[in-house]
Amino acid sequence: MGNPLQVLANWLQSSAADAIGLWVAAILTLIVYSYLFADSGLFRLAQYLFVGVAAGYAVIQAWHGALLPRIQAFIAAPQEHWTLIIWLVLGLLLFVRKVPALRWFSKIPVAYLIGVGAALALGGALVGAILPQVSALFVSLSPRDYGGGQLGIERAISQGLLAVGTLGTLLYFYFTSGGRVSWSRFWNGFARGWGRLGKWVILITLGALFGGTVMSRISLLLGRLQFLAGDWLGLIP
Amino acid sequence: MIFCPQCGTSNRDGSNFCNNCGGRLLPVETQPCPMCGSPNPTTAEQCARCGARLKPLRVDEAVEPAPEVEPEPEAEGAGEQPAEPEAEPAQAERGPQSWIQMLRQAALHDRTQKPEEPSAEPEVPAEPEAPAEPAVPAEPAVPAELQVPAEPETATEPEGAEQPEPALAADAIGLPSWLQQVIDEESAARMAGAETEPGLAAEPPQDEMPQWLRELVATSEEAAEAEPLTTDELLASLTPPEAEEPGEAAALAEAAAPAEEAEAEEPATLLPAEETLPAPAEESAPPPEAPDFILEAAVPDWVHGAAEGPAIAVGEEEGEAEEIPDWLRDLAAAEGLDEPAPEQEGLLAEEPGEAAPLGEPEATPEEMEAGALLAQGEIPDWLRELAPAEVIGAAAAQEEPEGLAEAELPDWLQEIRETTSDATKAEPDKGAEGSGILAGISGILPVAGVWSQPRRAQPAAALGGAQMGGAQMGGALTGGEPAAAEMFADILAGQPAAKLGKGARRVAGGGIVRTLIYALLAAALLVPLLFGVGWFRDSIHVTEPAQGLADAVEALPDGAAVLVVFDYGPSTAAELELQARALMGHLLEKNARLIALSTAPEGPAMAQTAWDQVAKGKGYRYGEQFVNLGYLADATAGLRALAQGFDAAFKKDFVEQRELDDLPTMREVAKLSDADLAIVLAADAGSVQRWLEQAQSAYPIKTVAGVAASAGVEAMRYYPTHQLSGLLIGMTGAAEYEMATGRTATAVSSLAAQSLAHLAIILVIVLGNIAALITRVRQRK
Repeated sequence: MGNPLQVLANWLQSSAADAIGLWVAAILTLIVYSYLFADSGLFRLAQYLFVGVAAGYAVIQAWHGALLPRIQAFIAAPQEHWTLIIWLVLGLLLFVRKVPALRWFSKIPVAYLIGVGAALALGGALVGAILPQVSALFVSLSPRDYGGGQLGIERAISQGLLAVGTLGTLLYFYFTSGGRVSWSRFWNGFARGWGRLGKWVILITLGALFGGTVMSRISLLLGRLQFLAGDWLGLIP
Repeated sequence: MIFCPQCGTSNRDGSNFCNNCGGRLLPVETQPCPMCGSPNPTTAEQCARCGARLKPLRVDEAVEPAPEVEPEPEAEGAGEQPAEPEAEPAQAERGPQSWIQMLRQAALHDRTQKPEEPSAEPEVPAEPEAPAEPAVPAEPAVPAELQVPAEPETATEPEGAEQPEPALAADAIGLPSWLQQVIDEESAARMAGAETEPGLAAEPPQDEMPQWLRELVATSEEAAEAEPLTTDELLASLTPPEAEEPGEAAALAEAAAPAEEAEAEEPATLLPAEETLPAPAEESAPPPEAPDFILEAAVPDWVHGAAEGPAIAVGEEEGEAEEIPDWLRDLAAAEGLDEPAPEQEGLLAEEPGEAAPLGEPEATPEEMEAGALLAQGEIPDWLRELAPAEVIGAAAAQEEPEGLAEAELPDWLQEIRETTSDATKAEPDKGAEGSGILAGISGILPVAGVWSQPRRAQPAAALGGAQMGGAQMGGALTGGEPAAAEMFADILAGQPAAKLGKGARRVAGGGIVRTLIYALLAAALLVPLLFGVGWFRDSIHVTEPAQGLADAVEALPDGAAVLVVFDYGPSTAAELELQARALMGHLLEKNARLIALSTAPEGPAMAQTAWDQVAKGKGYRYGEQFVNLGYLADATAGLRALAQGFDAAFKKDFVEQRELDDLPTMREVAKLSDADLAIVLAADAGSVQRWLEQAQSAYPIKTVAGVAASAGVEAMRYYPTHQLSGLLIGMTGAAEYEMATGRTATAVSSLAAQSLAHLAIILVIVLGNIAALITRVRQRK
């Protein structure tokens, strides 16, 4: 008979399991789309099933991808991987929040996580996002730098619009107005005028974001229809 | 659309649970606000939008405990005065003031112990309306919006009633110094806050009051006097004339007592509950003349307007037909009532008893005069500002009778009229409205009964028609009036629509149109897939970012190591799987080694699916051309670890659980910089940003990316900065890559289907707007 788990694993690799999985996926897809007409218990069942499967899959991935290999490595060579004990203890300290007497100790791993996370995020953002993005704003408006000709002119205009739009977007959030000194009034008025242009840049950006979201959702619908009509029914060649 | 009461997320009609938080969306658990119609939880006390009270102010007898001692004869006499029914709820609403109750009980106890000692009476100051500590503000029967700083309920007290002032009583009973200090401080605080909080009737001393405040106090005092009138008006309006009691007349007349009498009396709230009971009619002699200003201020015009013209009723009862406004006669004529039937005449004759706050079946000439003056009274400006818009509208409508044309009634009300008129003909005993804009409609509560206390209509309806009477409305409802009251409350709450059947709801909700849109969209998506899209290829333009990615792959050396990050799940697999297939196919043709990993838990499965599809029938072998390292936990720190070395992040591969050193794919690839190219396939721009910030910035590596269409705008910012050498956006990017590499496959046909779907959506939007425009033009015509 063999190991039942091995038998189950072998069966899951078989074509019969694939066929059953195909039908289950198709039926669940239809159940989910039944929400287009009415809310039903079947839809809720599919929804809860999806949430449960996703959560279970994430746990399995964390276990097999992160925890289990390290546990095995520590068991195989404790002296080589003794530092894993420190991280294990820190991880276990997260759970003592439920023990009032030991609650304070849970601050240690939390502080470590926040500190490391903040340091990585700030350092990465500065080097990987802020500086490159700011430096990209210093663009040349000369067509020669883009090869000249019509293409160079187009690129120069494009770079100019990029710079104007970026600064206008930032100035849209400049709320100071008026002023006692003449140059202050002039600058504030100038900034507000440029900010109005930036508002339109923001609106165009939001429209592009919405359009992209619609495209993604239509693509998702298309993927499900391809699955139903192609993989399940075999209608698509 | 149903909005979740917990998180505010919009959900489709008919949903039982919120899509966002899973909370229940049962509409029966909400109640509409009677003032603004906003839905509120049934447990809410006040409307979350306008602040209107949603539940009635009801206080049990226990809140105002009766004194245990037997009241003396004088107290009994005082207890026969007309009560202030809303005073106790008002006190309950503002919280118990235990020290006042203690003072009250102490004073009663003192009087009971020394009934023969009249010493308290001479100590009553000459101006009792300025007590050291104001009594609990009485809640007038007018709507809460019209409430003004209430005064001590002196108007209902006879001259002989003895009641020491709170401060005097405190001295008399010998309160401890700390309590006296608390009382003094609270009195000072109340006086200081009187201007900012009108609801808290902190009355400054009379000698410190400016003239305008004296007038305001006098006016509000008269308003407080009118409370029993309005309550009795409700009673009268809800009770058939034959059921009315003669005592109402006395209570009505007594409420209009001169202010000079009221000033000499003491705060009624300091009296025990027994002392504030309504007085018998024979013991309260009506004043011979009611001052005009009192009557005008006590009962605003809108109350008369809500009652559909109490002055008409007065005149009708006196046989003065000429006092009936023309608009009512016009309305009656329009309804075919030129010659009122006996039943209609009865209704007209009953109107004084139903709605007139001053009216009673046996009104005296003086009261008739007062009623006429009331009808002519004007709303003070400050009261007009405080009054609800509908009330002012009703008053304005009364001033302009021509505005009450029947044709201006809402359609749903007209439908009720038509339906119920027929029913009334068949069953005349049900009783229909005989006059006014609601003429011919049966089962409608007289308007004045609800409008005079608009904030109480909805809670009473929520509690059931039976509870709408009694303490709520100042009298018991009879017959079918509870149901009528509930129906009218529902009408005010904006729920006049009749309940539709399940099928009718589906049709009314646009179910057919919705189904047609679904069918159109499905056809637009399926037709290109089923019948080919050869005509569509020429319309695809390869953009610069897509071409840049293709060029980066073409520039790879033979046998290059390419890191592919699968940071997407099933929700965006339709787009990114096309990109992955196109890229992996091209890379395998270039004899590249693909090293897959993911910072998303679903990523390893997505990578394996893409590999199975690409390698199927091509002879590629796992472990040689492709390896799946699996899930990299904690993306930020994990990528940092990956930059230091693959073995620091992964011990074994995802599929075969083999050591990395044993995999031919991983030969000479120990750390990130050993890879020739990194491809990030991400559902959102955050993954691309994280990769660039944590991996590429630390260990420079040529990077390209493919993202979903929803993340295209955000990810595009990294292409001009040369952080990304190429970029694919959505299904369009996949098709562009196929076109750029000359390997057209499923991405092009999928893009054709997507484009047709976009056209179908645009078509639906245009047609819907045209239909809406046509409908609007027809409605205007």
